Amino acid sequence: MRNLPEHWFHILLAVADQARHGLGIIQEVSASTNGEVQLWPGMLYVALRRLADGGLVAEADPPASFESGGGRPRFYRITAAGRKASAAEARRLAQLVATARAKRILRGT
Amino acid sequence: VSKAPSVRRAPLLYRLVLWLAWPARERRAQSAELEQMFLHCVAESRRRRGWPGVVLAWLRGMADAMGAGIFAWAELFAARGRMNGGRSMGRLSLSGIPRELVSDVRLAARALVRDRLFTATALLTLLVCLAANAAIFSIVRSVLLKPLPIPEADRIVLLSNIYPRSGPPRTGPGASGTSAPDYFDRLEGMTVFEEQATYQRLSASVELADGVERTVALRATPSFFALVRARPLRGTLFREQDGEFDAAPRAILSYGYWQRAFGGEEAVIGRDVRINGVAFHVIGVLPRDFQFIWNDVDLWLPLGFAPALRADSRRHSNNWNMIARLKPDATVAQAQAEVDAINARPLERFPQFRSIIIDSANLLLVRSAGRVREMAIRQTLGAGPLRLGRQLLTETTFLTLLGGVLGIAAAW
Repeated sequence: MRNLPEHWFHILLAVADQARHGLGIIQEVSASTNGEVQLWPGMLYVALRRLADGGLVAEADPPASFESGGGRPRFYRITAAGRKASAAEARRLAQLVATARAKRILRGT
Repeated sequence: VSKAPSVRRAPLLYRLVLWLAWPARERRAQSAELEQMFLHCVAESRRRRGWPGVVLAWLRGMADAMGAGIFAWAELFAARGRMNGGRSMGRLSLSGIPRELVSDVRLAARALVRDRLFTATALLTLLVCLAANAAIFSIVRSVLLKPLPIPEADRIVLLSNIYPRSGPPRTGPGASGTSAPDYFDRLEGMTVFEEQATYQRLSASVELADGVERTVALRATPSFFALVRARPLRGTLFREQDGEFDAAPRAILSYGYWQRAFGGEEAVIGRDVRINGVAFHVIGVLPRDFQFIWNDVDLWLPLGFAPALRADSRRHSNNWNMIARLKPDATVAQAQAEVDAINARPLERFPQFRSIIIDSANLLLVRSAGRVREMAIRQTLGAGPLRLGRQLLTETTFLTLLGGVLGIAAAW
């Protein structure tokens, strides 16, 4: 499988623990990267369509505690294939980090 | 658990972009969510970077919405193509278009990114022109389309001398329009006008108690106030004889200037005020809501013509603006016919604005000369003329759309 585009990886991680809707994904990605990664609505829309087409995410029911303030946003959760793809990507990145450490680019932690 | 999206809508401009760039059904299904996300992104960007962040978020967000809209269109075409039998039916079938469209757009984006200087120039040109156009339109609207705050303003016409063989006509309430001899010819010869007046805008240095102040004055023939049906709030307006070139100088104040420079003092009427080095006798104050075209005119001075200015040799000194009020049943066409009869020069009432399209087309023309090689290579690789033409068209459209959005944003 080809490398996962970076923002796809972020989206997969955001829906890995629970189903989220678009705004929820943007907020989660922003929170987990200290605001470094900002997703945009159209970009997210395209990515979710592609991820769903590729079977990496699937539409999900809204959580029971979700109260709609109007409208009915779609929720997405990760699939088994999505988990596999993000695990592969995480391993690839871990390998990269290990190499950086071995070459004394990255120290500590 | 995520918070529920509220039902707040995004500003009109963003919705306009969605409306323009997205297929209707998909937009209806997605717009509520997209708008919520966009509002969140703008708020977030503002929190992190302040006002520049808002501007960046707007530009980024609109480009983002356009990009996704193109994707949604491509998906729609692809779906239709699949429904039409699953296979492309020759080069021009519906299913064939989206992939080529997508690749055209990609090529366009790549060419524009590669040629950054050109892109920046073209975008800046479009941006400035569109912003200027929007600004000009709002001026045109307030000056021409919105009725003047004057009774029966639809009967007021503007007279400008134009010279058809010396370039585009310069007309408008602020452009110079009429010479003194023409004005006096028309005073005598025109039968369809109830009233005629000339005026001229000029800057004025006013000597006040606490120093000299620069402001704007309008010199107008005494007939002007009758023409626009103005009445004084205090004192009087000009009499006929104030328009004699050697009459004692008199001045009328706008309400705003009366308040600002003289504290609304009643005693200012009858006092002398030095304007451009000459003592003017203040005779009146105009009502608060009186306005003629410009809202920065503080002083009204009488306009008279010395005999030398009325000479035939000054027929082309079009240094004055001329307006007239048509008699109730008279038409502009009749006025035109009469003016033609008097001096055989055409009358033009409205200026025209057009510059953007021409500017940008020139730029692209210059650039196409430099891209012959790229085209030759594509052609060698099998791209037909249709395909090449379409690619150029896509590129241009892409650039224009982007420039349009930036221009709207700049004018907002």
